[in-house]
Amino acid sequence: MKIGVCIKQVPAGQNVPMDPNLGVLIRSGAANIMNPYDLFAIEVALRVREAAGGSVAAFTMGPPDAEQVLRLAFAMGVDEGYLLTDECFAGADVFATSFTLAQGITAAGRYDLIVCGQQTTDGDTAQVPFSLAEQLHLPVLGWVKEIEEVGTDRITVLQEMTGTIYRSQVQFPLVIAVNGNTVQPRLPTLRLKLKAAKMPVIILNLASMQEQDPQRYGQRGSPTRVQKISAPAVVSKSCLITTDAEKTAALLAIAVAECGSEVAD
Amino acid sequence: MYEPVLPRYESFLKDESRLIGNAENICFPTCEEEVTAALRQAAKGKWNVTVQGARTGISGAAVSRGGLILSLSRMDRILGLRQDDKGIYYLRVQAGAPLSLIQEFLAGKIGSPEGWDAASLQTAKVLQRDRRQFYPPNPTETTAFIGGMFACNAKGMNAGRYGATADYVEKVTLATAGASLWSIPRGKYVFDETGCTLPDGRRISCDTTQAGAPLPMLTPAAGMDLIDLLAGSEGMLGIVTELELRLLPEPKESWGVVYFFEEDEDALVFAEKIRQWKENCQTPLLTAAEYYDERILVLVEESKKQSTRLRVLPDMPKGKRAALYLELNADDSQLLEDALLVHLDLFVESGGKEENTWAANGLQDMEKFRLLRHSAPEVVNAEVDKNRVTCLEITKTATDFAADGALFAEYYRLYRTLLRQSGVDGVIFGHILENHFHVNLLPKNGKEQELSNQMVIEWAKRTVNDSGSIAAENGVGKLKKELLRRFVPAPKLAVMKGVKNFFDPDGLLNSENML
Repeated sequence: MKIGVCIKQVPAGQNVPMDPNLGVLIRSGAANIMNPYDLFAIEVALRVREAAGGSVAAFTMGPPDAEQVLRLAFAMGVDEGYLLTDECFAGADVFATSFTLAQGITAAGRYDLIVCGQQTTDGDTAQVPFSLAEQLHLPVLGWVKEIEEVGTDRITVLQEMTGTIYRSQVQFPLVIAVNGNTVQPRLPTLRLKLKAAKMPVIILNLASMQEQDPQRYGQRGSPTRVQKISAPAVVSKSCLITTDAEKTAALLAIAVAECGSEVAD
Repeated sequence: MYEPVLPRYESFLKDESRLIGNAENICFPTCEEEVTAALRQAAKGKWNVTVQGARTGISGAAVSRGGLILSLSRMDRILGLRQDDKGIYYLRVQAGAPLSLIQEFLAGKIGSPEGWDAASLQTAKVLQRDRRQFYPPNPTETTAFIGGMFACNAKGMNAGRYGATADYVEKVTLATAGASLWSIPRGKYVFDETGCTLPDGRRISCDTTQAGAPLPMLTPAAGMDLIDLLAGSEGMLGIVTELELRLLPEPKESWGVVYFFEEDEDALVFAEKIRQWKENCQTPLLTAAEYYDERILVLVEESKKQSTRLRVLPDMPKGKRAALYLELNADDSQLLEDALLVHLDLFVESGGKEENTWAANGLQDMEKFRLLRHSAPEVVNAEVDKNRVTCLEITKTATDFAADGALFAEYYRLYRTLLRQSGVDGVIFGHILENHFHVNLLPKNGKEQELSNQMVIEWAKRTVNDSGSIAAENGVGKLKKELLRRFVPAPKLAVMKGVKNFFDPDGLLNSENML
């Protein structure tokens, strides 16, 4: 089975500045990490490979240093890595991103299963897997929480949507988008980690794609127009209450009741 | 200046030793003048003074026995930075600065604090353009204050490569029991065969032949710097208010690898191979070698259910009976990769399976593995607390013994055999190549507590016979005084008491510690 997994380099941390004119994140200079949701996607792809055999190829679109996420994917056990990089790919919205990914995946071959993380921590649209599936003319299952069975020609998954679990069985090829925290991403073994640094990364640029028109890619190929961006007003207040243990416990109980299930350990 | 110990200060009556103290008053000085004012007040009222850092110590050195608690928690500033003519950087900090603050500053996560002089600001600019620096001692508990680390001369898991806290202290300011302030740069006040002239011009005369095993505290030796006598003295000779720390350039490449074993003995075989490899290694690469037994790994896994912080650790391989964590660093990445391949071969030769390894390259990814190490004593402490619910006689009972590194397997088997024979629950983890295991006993009742104490004494006997240390990095405090009483020879004890008496004739400072 040929499995593809789409991954993305995203800025580390939560305070990434935005360009007020273009309405895009200013990525230069920021420390970058693998999109955390994509770790789950890689883990799912590797488990499918372990169940059904075959190989896993990772695809990422970004500047040359996005290679780092492919190295991490290799270290986890991914067999091949494709870096989709070209100046004309920059500034892409959901549509242009998924168009470029679809072009890259098509250029690399035919895949039985494409696995995506449900969303990214920078764009946060959760739309790329669906747009990608549309452009590859494949069915798509979103919010996958578990792979129940991998057959020779079909896959059975559990999806979690609006609090309900759905069991879906779909024939290959298809695209799935997996939720975070569904499986535990593995840590690299020493052998793979050492090997990952030396594995070749396959570069795909505009010349590699079936569609050669640069107007279809990047910012020029993006129908999204950002009219205005503004930061939401952050409202927070704190106060210090000095009282005895009993009243503190009572106040705490009220606070917990108000927060309900949002209280974590 | 000071105030009564109100209920809101209850947490200041204990530390990680689980001992509970008492005190009449507490103060939170923000500067040296306030420290000396508090000392004058204490002398006038004849109050014992207990100096406190972050109360992360496990020997009870910061637990008060009446009198005044002097908390350094508001003396937490980074005061300045300088560079000498050899290009070495020195960071000046108040004693209450947490290790995490120092690490964050050096990582560039926080800028130069307010109030720095022009020279320090200029040096900070130079540092920004220079290679990243680090402060090597790392006892994994990053909430610890630098003053507390100095007070017990903390080491941590990279001590085999980098040494102890005092090795990186170039200067201290000491508030004496007489409420004077001494500035002590390294190299200025050094013991000769008969003693040392101190900053106030007085000369302390003492027997300098009693230094070394079974513990290094309060025993001067010819050639010893006064800074090194103060290190590990648990606040008994004076209150260190300010320290200047020597920094090192951070190595360009770092790796951390966890090796899991299906047989405990295989871990010992592998560790011995690594010890021999290290001895033959021409360039120092290994910075840490930490052993974990099955019980501690299980406790960490179980606590993942309650702790979101620990959930970043994936499930450990099934069938694991032990693990060894190795950290390496160097500027030459190829040298490291070659070493790692050698380690992998040695691991497989020792019965390990390649798939039972976790590897990380770079400090950010290695944080997970350091968290595993840091969580070990934390989960043990949680177990102690749980057991104390039904039996208040139970206290933190652990070894901090270090002996000849070549004997680590023999010591390990000694610990394991006695543990098994006693039937008392316990865990073993720690710095395996320094033969410095932290055996933590987890008694469930008074009888088991008594058995645990006896085991610790038995193990200490063996350590003392081999000229090892019975307080290698966690101090003596109040919890381990019995060990000191049993195993420190009378002439050495006399020197220790003489030193204490010279610095603090009225027994004002932390006098319930150690002696």
